[in-house]
Amino acid sequence: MIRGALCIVILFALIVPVVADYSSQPWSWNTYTGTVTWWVTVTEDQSACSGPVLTNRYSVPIQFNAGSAVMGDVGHGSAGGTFTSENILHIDGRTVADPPGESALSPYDVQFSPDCSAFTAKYTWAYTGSDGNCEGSTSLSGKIASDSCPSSSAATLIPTVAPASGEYLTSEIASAHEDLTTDLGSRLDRDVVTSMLNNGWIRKDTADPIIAGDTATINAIEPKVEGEYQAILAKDPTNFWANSDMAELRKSQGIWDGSDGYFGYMDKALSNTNIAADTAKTIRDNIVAQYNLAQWPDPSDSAFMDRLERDVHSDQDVHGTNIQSTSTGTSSSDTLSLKEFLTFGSGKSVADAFTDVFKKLAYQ
Amino acid sequence: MFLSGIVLLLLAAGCSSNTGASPASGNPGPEQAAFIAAANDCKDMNLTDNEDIGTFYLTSSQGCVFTKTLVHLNDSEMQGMKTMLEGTNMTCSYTQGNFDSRWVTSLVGGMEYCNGDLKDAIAKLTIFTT
Repeated sequence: MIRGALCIVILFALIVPVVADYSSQPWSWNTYTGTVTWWVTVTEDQSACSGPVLTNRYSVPIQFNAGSAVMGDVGHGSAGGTFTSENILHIDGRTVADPPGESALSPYDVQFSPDCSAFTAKYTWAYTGSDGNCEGSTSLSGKIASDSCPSSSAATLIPTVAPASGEYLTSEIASAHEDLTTDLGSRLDRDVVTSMLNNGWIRKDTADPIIAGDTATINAIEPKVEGEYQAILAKDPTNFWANSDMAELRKSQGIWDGSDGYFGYMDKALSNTNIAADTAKTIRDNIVAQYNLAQWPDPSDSAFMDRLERDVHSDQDVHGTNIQSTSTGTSSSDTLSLKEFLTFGSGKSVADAFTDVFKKLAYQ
Repeated sequence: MFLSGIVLLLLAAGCSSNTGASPASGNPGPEQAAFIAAANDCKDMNLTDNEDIGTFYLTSSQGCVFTKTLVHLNDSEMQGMKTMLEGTNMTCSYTQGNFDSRWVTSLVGGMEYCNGDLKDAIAKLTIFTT
């Protein structure tokens, strides 16, 4: 009971700084200049192609430039358009590569809400390729990732006076996290293909271009990712999200030790014990829902969980460091179990789990 | 012709195959120990490892790549757990002489050097441990 009340208090403390404070006056996107990050639900109806109706959520930047804007990739590449009124962005039809064929996309209007907080859009597409022809549609529903409308003609959403909590950095963290997820996806892809090559499961002339492409992506995006997180940490050195993401980046780079290594960032992240405990709970709830588990897996009624529990406690040596001995995360089972997940999960898997947690907070 | 094909396959694999029941985590059983020794030398080898929690299929290759597949989880486990884990695998690359025996004897030991959906599923379940 007390724990439940505590969780509510913690959640409230987390959410209060990001409670919506959108414009009570009509907002006009056609006069704004700057990049704004949105959480976009993309529903692609492939039923006419004998496919499913797919729904995914992405963090998507839109670059506004006073009268025109470029929408980030929502599945068919980024697209530029012009405003036909204060809050209607018109995007012309175009044809995009859609291997092994191509898709002709209809023109469409992006309708922004007058309080700045949301937008909707829908376009149709006609696919033609060697594997057949068919038509479908894509619907977009966007919600601004920040807690308020951007300040007029501001290039960023950073307030001039930083609140103590650091939670105001929502849009910066969302943008950096999106880049990190791309980077970790490329790293994972490169590791898997390299492993397949070493095992003779893939031809060298097939593997080499994939590895080269992933390496190019990593080399291009990692300096940007590090810059984004260092900017956040300069303002808020113990920020949970920035430190945990930097930890995953360092883990994927194979840099484990020191304050600039995995363990250093992980310790700083887990020093936010309340946020860490709440994040662990949210990730557990998400896993239970994702795999339709009837209950939380428990060693008392699962031989696998019993064995896992014993192995987790007996195999604490990770890259030469006993993770029980790192300075934080051992004071409660929640922070300790989050530490296990951060440490043993692949960077991409952990980043994806954090995306889901972050979205939950952003949507509340 | 068929027999010679099998012989060729075995020669090409250069492997031996074992099926063994193993003890719980910790010290390796005899079949596990034989597998670990072969894998440490980067030899082609496979082992169907029947454990008290389920059945794993282990392989090692001349390219110094170890794979671990969770073939079957005990029937007493929740269906969601079976969906999450059965058929998943992870791949671990290493150099000759540096095979981590914990990949065989433990669910998590040495997993930081591996990739695959088995690793990620196990990592997700560690968040339920205390």
